Amino acid sequence: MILTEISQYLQQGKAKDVKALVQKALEDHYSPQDILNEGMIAGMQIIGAKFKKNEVFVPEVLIAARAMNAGLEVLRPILIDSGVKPIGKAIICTVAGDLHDIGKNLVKMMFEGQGIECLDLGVDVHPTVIIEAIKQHKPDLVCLSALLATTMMGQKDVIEALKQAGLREQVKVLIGGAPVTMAFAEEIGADGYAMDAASAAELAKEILLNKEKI
Amino acid sequence: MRKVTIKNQNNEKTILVPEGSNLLSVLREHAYVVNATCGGSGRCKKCVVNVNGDPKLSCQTIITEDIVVEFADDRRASKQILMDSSATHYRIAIDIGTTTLAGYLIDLDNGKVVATNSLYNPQISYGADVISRIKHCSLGSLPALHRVIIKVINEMVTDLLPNQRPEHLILSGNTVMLHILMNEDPTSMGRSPYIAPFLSSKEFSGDLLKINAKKVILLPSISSFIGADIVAGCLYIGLLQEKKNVLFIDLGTNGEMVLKANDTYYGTSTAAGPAFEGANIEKGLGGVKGAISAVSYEKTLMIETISGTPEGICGSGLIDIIALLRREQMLDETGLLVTNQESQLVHRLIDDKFYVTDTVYITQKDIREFQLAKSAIVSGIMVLLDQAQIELSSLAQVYIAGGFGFHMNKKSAIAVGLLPVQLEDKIRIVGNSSGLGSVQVANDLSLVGECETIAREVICIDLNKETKFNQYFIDNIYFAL
Repeated sequence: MILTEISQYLQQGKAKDVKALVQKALEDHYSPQDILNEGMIAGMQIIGAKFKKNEVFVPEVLIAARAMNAGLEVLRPILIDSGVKPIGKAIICTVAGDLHDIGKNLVKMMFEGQGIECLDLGVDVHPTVIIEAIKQHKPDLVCLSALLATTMMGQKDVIEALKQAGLREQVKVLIGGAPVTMAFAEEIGADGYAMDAASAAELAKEILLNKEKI
Repeated sequence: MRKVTIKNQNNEKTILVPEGSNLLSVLREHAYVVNATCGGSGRCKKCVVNVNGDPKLSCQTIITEDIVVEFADDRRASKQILMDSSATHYRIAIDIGTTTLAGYLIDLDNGKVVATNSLYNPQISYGADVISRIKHCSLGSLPALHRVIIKVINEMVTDLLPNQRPEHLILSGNTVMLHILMNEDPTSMGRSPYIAPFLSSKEFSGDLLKINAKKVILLPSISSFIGADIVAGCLYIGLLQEKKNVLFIDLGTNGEMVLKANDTYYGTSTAAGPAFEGANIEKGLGGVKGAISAVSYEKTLMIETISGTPEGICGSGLIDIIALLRREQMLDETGLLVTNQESQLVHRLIDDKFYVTDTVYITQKDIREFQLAKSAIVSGIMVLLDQAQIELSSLAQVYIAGGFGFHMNKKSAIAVGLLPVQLEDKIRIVGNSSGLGSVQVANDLSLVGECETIAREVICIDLNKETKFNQYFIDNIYFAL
């Protein structure tokens, strides 16, 4: 079946094949939503689960994500035309003082793989920039990455700044990065923590879907 | 208040602490050495002590009752006397490593090193890497970290020279270690733009910091992440006098490197992570007693330890094991452990763990940690070469410094891709070049000027700002086919 094939090629990171198969599936009258969910997102979830178990490593996730983006290039205009909305919107960045973005980029790709729209503010982002972006783009999630034990307090600074700006209730704050722990997330009052990119995407999806119910 | 009775091989001591105190914090305050690799966040699981007879993570233990704590206050101290000496004047050089301190006693009558000693850096209780140490300093523990380092330096000085005060004590170390030594807040070095409060050399009376030496000389650093240890290393290999293109790498936690190409100096720090020093590796150890330092396999599996029976694996052992797994096709090029029924060693692979002995093994996750570390090193080399616009082939020599480098098997290092294959015949292992460079300074104090020149000449490359670094990093994570 073509959707399974899309999933498999995506897992192998074959961007060209994914792109061609998405095109073909559309010609065969598969719904864009099924192509996204049962083809690409399904493939990305398998990669995510394998990453979590150390079965695949950073490069496999990156090339799979690259293949996903190739497929999305074809699919995105059609999804928009047919009124399919992303399941939510997230702002993502590394905190002030932190320049390490490989982890953040992985999380972003995983999010996109789950159908979450991502606005990437880049690295070394000051809380005021995040606040402006929230006001302008009204995201559901704010995702903060910190790789160093010395920069993780920057995640707390953002949460405090959100409170001061009266925006804390409008968004859910998710944090991650090598030195970050669940205990730290609770201590600084974040809404969630994930220990790897795949778990982060699952957590985000769960939060977004529950939010809709409310 | 609660009573905490602390027992170890040397003594027994009872202290009173407020109820609700964290056990690791209490042990730190009383200058006990507990291996808290992750800095006390409950993740590395290495700070185990016996509490009332049960093994507990000290960082996760809150004191709510009177307790008896038992552990080996294992500082891995060692001393070697190299020759008899009865000089009237001595100088001492100490390299303050993040993991280990190394001391050298120099007889000024003949300029020879007559004794050496080494000791774990007791700041390990505050985390294995410089970033954890900076964090603890920024949270108010600078005075405590400063105190313990002064204490061990004095212990090492007395151990080397029991009945007199050395004329000069020459100190090298990474920039963060030197700041803590001077009781200077290193907080600004922990975040971009990574500014170091001081970099230049210092000379002061030992009394100033209660150090047991008449005069103390601190060697200069290059940047926040390229310290005086690297400067001393460059001095030791004669970098200033070098005519050809050469590369100097300290294979340790910070993975610093300096390239001299066409008479220009480029330096960087790859933050390879503490995998080479045994942290982040489940059964990892530094280059100390009980550490497996070499593994080879011809019909039978041969294991060498630094000394004693195998308890864990140090960096050189790790690369030997990974090279072996690659050769036996039990590890594919992506870094995945695979069951190869053809290999005689297949029975040692159980539940994604490869058992080197009955109790010492490496895990799939350890291999992933190693892949990140080796890719950081190779990618750092590539970025420096790009900066200098030269190719790997135009390097005449690669000097490998560091304790791990000392035991490293060159063939294994190439096989696992820690160093590019083009460098195979150019590798020269120089040991603790930081300590040895400091010994040179101890013999000729005017060399401090040469150190200043090195520190000034090196152009620092910040890998975080080099977009090509990320690409190289991804490209080099796998093992070569």
